[in-house]
Amino acid sequence: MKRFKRIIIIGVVSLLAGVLTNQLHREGIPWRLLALSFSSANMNEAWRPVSTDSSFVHFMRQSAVFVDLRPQDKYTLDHIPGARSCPFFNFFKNPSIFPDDKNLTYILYCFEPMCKEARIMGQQLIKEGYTQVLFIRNGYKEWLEKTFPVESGAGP
Amino acid sequence: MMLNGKNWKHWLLLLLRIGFGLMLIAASIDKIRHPMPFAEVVENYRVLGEGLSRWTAVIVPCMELLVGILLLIGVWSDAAITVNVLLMFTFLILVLQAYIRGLDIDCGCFFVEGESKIGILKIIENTLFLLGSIVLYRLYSKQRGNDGIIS
Repeated sequence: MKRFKRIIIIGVVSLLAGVLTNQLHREGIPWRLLALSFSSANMNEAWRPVSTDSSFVHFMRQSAVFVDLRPQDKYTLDHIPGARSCPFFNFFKNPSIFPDDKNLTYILYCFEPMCKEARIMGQQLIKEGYTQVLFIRNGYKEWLEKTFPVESGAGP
Repeated sequence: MMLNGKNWKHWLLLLLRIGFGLMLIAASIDKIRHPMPFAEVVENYRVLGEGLSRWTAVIVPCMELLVGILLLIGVWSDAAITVNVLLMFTFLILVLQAYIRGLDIDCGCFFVEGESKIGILKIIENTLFLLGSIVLYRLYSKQRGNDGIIS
């Protein structure tokens, strides 16, 4: 029984330490998302990665606003048609450049897969009350590889 | 110095305990540093779903770290060794099911990003870890004079 009690204590301490570490972590999983894990709204209201194919479905249905986090010059060269430009560093200097409708679905992307910028910005937006912020898991790179449509120019 | 049977087992026990301790600590660091990407890695195994994957990404790395430290310093070894077996068993099952289902995903065993894909080598690696953890459990139980899972 002594061993069993110790195993339980290890589990409880791991849970508490994990939650504490995560909350203190700059890039930790927001508490809101952890709490949503127990909610039926979880699937509809979250910050999470999506595949390039799912993003393309959103693109075809026009059910999401695409946001390009790359520098402005790269955005001008080519981007997902209709995407808004919101370079990562500009956003943190001036958050008002991000669209202000918090109820829309936003899909963030940068060039590389699993980019840190999209995760940090997504976390920030959720904290600010945006209800659904997704990011393309494999980045714009895979969008290009799959030869999905792109456009050039300064955009909207 | 000649090693008799008892000495040999004693040193093997010590080696396995320290080896698993260091391995678990090393495996936990990158996961603790990158909780969100690790949650994605867990979700990619398609076993737990989105919500539970996030909680797993929060709890499991800390459990690895805690068990690793306990194994290393030799405190609460009975519980730490048992949890170690359970962790290794779970990891093997996860890797095995991913391979059988043909999932082309990163293992996420030691590093969150850029690690090798799930394949035969990962299954062999995890099987060896499980066998090692069972040997450690058996040696420890015999040394303590009991053989039960939970004494």
